[in-house]
Amino acid sequence: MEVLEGVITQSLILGIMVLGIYISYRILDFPDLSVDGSFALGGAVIAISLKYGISPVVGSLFSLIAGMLAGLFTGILHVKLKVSNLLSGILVMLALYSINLRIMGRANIPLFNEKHLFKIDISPLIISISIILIMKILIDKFFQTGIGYTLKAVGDNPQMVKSLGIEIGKIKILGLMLSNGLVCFSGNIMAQYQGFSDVSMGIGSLILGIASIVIGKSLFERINFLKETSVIIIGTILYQIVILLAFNLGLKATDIKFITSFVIILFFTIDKFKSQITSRQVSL
Amino acid sequence: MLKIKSISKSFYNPYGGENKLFNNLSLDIKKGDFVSIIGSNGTGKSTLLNIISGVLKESKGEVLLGNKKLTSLPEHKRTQIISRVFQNPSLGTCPTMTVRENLSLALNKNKLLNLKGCLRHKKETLEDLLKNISLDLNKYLDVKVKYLSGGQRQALSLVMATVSEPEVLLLDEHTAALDPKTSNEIMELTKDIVKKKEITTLMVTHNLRHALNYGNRLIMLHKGKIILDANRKEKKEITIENILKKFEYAV
Repeated sequence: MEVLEGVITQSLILGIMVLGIYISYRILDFPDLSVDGSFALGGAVIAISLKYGISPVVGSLFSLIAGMLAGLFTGILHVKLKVSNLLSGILVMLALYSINLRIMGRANIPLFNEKHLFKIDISPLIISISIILIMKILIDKFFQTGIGYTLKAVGDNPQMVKSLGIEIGKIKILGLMLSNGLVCFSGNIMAQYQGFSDVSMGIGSLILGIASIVIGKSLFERINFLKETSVIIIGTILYQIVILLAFNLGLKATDIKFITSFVIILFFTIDKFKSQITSRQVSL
Repeated sequence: MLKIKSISKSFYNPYGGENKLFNNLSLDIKKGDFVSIIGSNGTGKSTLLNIISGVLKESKGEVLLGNKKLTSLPEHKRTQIISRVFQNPSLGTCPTMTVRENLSLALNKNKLLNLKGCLRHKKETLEDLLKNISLDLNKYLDVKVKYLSGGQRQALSLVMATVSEPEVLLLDEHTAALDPKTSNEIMELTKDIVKKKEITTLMVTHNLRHALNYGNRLIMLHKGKIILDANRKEKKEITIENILKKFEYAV
């Protein structure tokens, strides 16, 4: 039971990151690899903030801003310098690896002795539920606003947004900033939860996010009363449980990357067959 | 009100030299005019619309709208005052959004980038916009646009393009992808909207009957030159046969 509670807490924290990846990957159709760097950036920023005695709440805000800056750079590379989306993500991810090392000064900083969010006498599960609920509601509200709808429309039909007199480049940059801000924030909470910050903790974030989104979407997309954000959070939890089961079957931590790739390919295959079946029905 | 002042446009030709499309083309369109533009393929009809809307840049000359110099405005600034409906019905709408969401986006044109709720318009307002459309769009307010037919999408694109009262409306063969019946319906809808809102309109079309029956001015382009410019009165005397003959001669 305790193990399951731990997995769910961890999934809820990762869920914030997946919500961020959802903005870039699903809405803007932008597989943004810079999130791998942003996640670790969150850990780096909170580690240093706590070391300097800054309150964890303010430190978390700093991480949000730092992530948005990272997204800003990816966006400028892609929109202004016309670098392809994949390459601009990779460039920022690489740069962030060095930057994170600079910020932390070494590869790993333990936070066990610092005053962080999870030192309060409330169960980590409740803390993570509250954080992700606030984030989810804010994101849902945001996508009801004019600017939120514009962001969705840019991914859907950029030509139409152009027709509305809006410069789509700016909207893309905004989306990437929000996305990386959320990912970085999630990295900061994760570092506080696990009690240390590590420079390599972000590796594989994008793929993990995509796996969670794909699982959530293909299992729960048809349930109408569930908002897309909820579907994605559920997907994240399910994916983490799959990983837990894989461990219990005797797989090693080093096998995780294989499982992630396998799960994504599996669900893409299922989706492909599903769409073939539905398109056949329509053509009848 | 829309003045095209001696524009020239050349395209780079990889086999050496350049292809000159327009050479000192001038055109003066009055406020509220509904101009039909015809001509064979490659005569510069679409290029003309692209230059007005800022997708392409002219090599020389300028485009004026009232006192505003359009030439120096970037594309997204021009689209704030110029609306366009494309031949492809899916270019004017967002497929994964509902009719209501699409209309709301259009209703909020030029005031979208804020944190106000996007879907704040009353159901009646939206239904009012779709009232006289025979394609039953009213019933589909909460249906995603990707499930609508091409005709319905084009009707929606047209409503969306005109709801914000643009100064100029560009129609780029906007009925070409539709069946004859739907295409006529869209033309009737176009006429009603343009008349009601008094929008200055330029319509490129290959449908000669549409070109003759609608609008108050007819322009025929050939190799970048205007070879026919008929006002409402002159237009009434032109028949499809006349124009077909002109096409033969021009080719």
